[in-house]
Amino acid sequence: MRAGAMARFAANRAAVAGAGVLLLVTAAAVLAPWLAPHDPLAVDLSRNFEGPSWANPLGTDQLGRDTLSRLLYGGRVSLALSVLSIGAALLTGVAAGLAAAWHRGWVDALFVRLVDVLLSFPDILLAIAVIAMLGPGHLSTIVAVAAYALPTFGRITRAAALASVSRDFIMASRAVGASSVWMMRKHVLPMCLSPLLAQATVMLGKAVLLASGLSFLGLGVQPPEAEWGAMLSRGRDLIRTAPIGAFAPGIAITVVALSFSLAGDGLRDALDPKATPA
Amino acid sequence: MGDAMTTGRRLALKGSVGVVGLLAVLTANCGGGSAVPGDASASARDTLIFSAPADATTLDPHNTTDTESDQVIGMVFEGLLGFDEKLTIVGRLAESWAVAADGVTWTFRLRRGVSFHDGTPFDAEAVRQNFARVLDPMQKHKRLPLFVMVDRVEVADPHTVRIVTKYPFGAFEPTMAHISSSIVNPTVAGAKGLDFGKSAIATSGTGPYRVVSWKKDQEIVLERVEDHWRGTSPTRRIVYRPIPEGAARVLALEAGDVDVISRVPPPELKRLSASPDLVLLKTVSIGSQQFRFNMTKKPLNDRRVRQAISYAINRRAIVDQLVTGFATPSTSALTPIMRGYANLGEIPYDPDKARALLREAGYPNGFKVKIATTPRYPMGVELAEVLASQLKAVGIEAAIQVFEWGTMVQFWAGLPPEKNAQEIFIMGAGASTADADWGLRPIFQTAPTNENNYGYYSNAEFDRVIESAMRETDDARRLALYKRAQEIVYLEDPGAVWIFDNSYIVAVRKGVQGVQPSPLGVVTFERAVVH
Amino acid sequence: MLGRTLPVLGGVSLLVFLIVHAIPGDPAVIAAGLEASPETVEQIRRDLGLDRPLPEQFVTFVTRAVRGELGTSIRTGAPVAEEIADRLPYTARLAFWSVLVAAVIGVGAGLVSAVWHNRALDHVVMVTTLVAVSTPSYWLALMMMLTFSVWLGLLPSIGATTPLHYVLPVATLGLQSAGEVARMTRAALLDVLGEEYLRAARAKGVPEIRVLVRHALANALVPVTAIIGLRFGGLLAGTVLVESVFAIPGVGRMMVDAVVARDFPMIQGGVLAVATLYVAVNAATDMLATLADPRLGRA
Repeated sequence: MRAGAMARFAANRAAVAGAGVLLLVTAAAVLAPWLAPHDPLAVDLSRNFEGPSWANPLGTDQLGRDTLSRLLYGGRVSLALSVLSIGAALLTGVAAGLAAAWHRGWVDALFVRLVDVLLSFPDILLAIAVIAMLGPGHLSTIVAVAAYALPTFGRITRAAALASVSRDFIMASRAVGASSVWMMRKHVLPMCLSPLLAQATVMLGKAVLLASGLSFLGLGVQPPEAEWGAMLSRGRDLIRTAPIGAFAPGIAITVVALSFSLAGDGLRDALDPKATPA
Repeated sequence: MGDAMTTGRRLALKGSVGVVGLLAVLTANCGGGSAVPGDASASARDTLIFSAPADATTLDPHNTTDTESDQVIGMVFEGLLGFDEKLTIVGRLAESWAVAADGVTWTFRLRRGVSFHDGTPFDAEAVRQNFARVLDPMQKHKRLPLFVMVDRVEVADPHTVRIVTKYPFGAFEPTMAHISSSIVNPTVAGAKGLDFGKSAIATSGTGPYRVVSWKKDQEIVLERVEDHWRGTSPTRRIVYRPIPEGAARVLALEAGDVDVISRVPPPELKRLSASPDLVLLKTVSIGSQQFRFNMTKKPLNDRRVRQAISYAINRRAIVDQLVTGFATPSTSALTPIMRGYANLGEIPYDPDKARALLREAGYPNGFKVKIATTPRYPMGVELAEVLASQLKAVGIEAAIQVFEWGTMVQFWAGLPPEKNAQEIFIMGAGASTADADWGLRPIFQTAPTNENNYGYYSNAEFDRVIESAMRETDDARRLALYKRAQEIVYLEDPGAVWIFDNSYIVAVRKGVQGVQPSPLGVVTFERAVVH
Repeated sequence: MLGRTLPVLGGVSLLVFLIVHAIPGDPAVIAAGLEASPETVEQIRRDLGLDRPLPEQFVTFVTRAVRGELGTSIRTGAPVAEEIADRLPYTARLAFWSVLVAAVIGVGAGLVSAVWHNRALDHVVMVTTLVAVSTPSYWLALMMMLTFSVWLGLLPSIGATTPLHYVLPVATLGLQSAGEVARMTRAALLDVLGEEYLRAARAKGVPEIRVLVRHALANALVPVTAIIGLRFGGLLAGTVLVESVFAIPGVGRMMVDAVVARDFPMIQGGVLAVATLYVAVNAATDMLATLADPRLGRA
């Protein structure tokens, strides 16, 4: 089964390409301190808006900072933020979804309503509200993005868990008094893993996009820190004046979000064999 | 205009007036070629489309607190007095005016034959009803505080009105020239009550344009009044079209979908000024970009620390590189176009002096500080980043906090010092009476909360000087007092780091002529022609 | 249907109420303007009922909302219901046409992808449709404007005055939704393509194209309708950034302005209206799906 899934994933060239790109980008982000030619925060107004050169392969930005260095360090922040926020959403969403499926009754009813409420709430508004409440910074960006992704994970977990808790062997273990936490970990959670994994991968890409939307509204990562969304949103006034600096973060975001989608789709196909005809 | 009554021009300004309208982007130099009205030849188009970042929030002059509303109100309404494009006070609905020897009785002779857009004649009774309206606390007009010095308004005859103030009030003329002194149609205002100015049909003044339609967030269509007393405008229709996004505003202008835009994103100025299809019009402004200090926070309470910060800032580099020459380094706490301005010179970039001052103050290794900013101000974030990097060079570690507008103003809402966490914060203000009194007194006079004095500035000598200046009627002595006040707040015990004086800039398509930007951050279209 | 809708709307009301009161920022202060006196601010606060205890304010908000009274905007002084009614048509038009574009492109792309499953064409089509989804919407919008309005001069850049003005915003939003529709169509088709009755049909010599369209697509339509409904609901709520860039006077832009101004009645009314629409559209989609697939009705 595991090997089968690996083989199916490997056969999906788009997914493999996506995964490859992600690996590269992650490596570049992790190695940023060694790869970046300059300090991403070093301002030099006398050298702003310079074109590409050996010293600055992607030129400099409005404040004379090296664009390539900012792109590398920015990837670090963007990826870290999306991983942390999706991780937080995954943890809470899964816990809530499992609890709902396990306890049924009013817990489940409350959960379903809550998910409905969150889903019908305009996401960008929810994010603005979270940031206004917590004050700007990494934490509020993480919470805002997590709040957006949480209901989706909760819903998926609940659906998958409901299907498994009604199975005979679980009913039986329950009857003999097995601990609920143990039961969840041992039997229920594994059933939810594949759809969650696929969805989480896709959501990682969406997190990068949502974070950039927040930057557009002036609510993203705090300057002078480099982050792709913030770089792109500032670049919108520079499309014509300094196109390289303006386009670079845009391309980075698109490529990464796209790669997450492709890899996620590939994962789903691979982990859910019935979606693939013989 | 107003040549008869030079008395009406005195600069005896006392008391406060006006409005710290947050007139953001602005700078200096009159310019750019195409300000000459062409003749309205057959080739001229009959519609001009003007785009600004936001819709008007109200068209009631007694309720406006934002530049966008001011823009449209200024086209539809007129006051007894007004400002011309050089901020000189000129007669509008008043042909002449004078103050009596008692210093409190002002007599205005009104222009005859003027009527409101619905045909209601304009007369002294209309003026009286306007003041009754704005001064009625039940109607809750936001601009009531502007007129608290008015004691009573008397109709002497249908074309003469007397306004008596409670005390001699030097800044009375700028108050009367202020947008909120515009005269609304009493018939319509009476019929519409609190809904006046909220829709096209509930808006009526004597200005050169009437409001035809107002679709919220989409467009306000203004049509010229034929045979207006100031002359008929060459262009029949002016469409005010809000486009929130700066980059989109520029693209719309380049695509030819709009004719004139305001608030050009600063990074685009250089490219647009080189464009063969566009012209940039600039004027000096009453606004300057500055970072204020919260005086209650250590170590900012030490004047040497504040001076050190001021010397650590390279204003030239900012003006030349970041705002690409479209602003001028500040030379005082006021901008040169304002009454009472004293040129105290640019503060030089001198990091050594900054370090020396820090040593003297007991911070040889610098300290940590927070800079609060908001993207609402053009380049607000970039400026904070530059400031932080320049402070770092003298050992001060500054962390930047970006707030959206709603959160930002909360810090300026009359908080006591212990509830205000901001330390250094951005401010882009200009006193829209263009006068030293309103430009200094409410902002830096000692006060228990930061209702207007956002940084809790307090300097005993400054307080004394500014009080005497307010009561001073002699021009020369008044100027000397304001010069002293500026020396204190700008040099000796700085209340802010003034970075640069803004220019107010609009970009127009080549075929558009006669558009005139004002230092108040609004545009005049009365002589505009579109080819 | 109502049993599910009402609690959601109740929950949304409570959530938006709590959010609005939890975020720092006093609407009275912002409404009064920067140089207002404390008395003015206090007066405005009283007028808005903001000096009342929170539970009382909530009860007032809900009882009024039930009667369709959403209060008066603090910023503009106009009735909130009127402001929403003015703007909703723009957002609704935008959402409708975008979802239509997304459906046509998405189903087409999904079909092609499924038929040429795991071959080069599949990947090319999926990657292409996903590029737009993976691009921040405001950025895509600006690129569209730059290309089609400024460089090519083909289409109007901003505004919403003529049908032509909708082309660029609809293309932006439509392309962004098309990716998801394509992905769902492809998955649903792959699901049914292997099924017995299709093989039977093929064996009987029914032409492949007919097998695809008549049999496979018809069955795949249920999940596809669901995702389209979901996208439509999402678009009604989430065209904020695109409305800002194209200067379309829609509900999304109105609400962001309202948040900045802490215009409580406007935020509350706007969120409630949008949530109601979202719930209604989803309910309608569910019904449509049930009609299309009798199996769902039984389950």
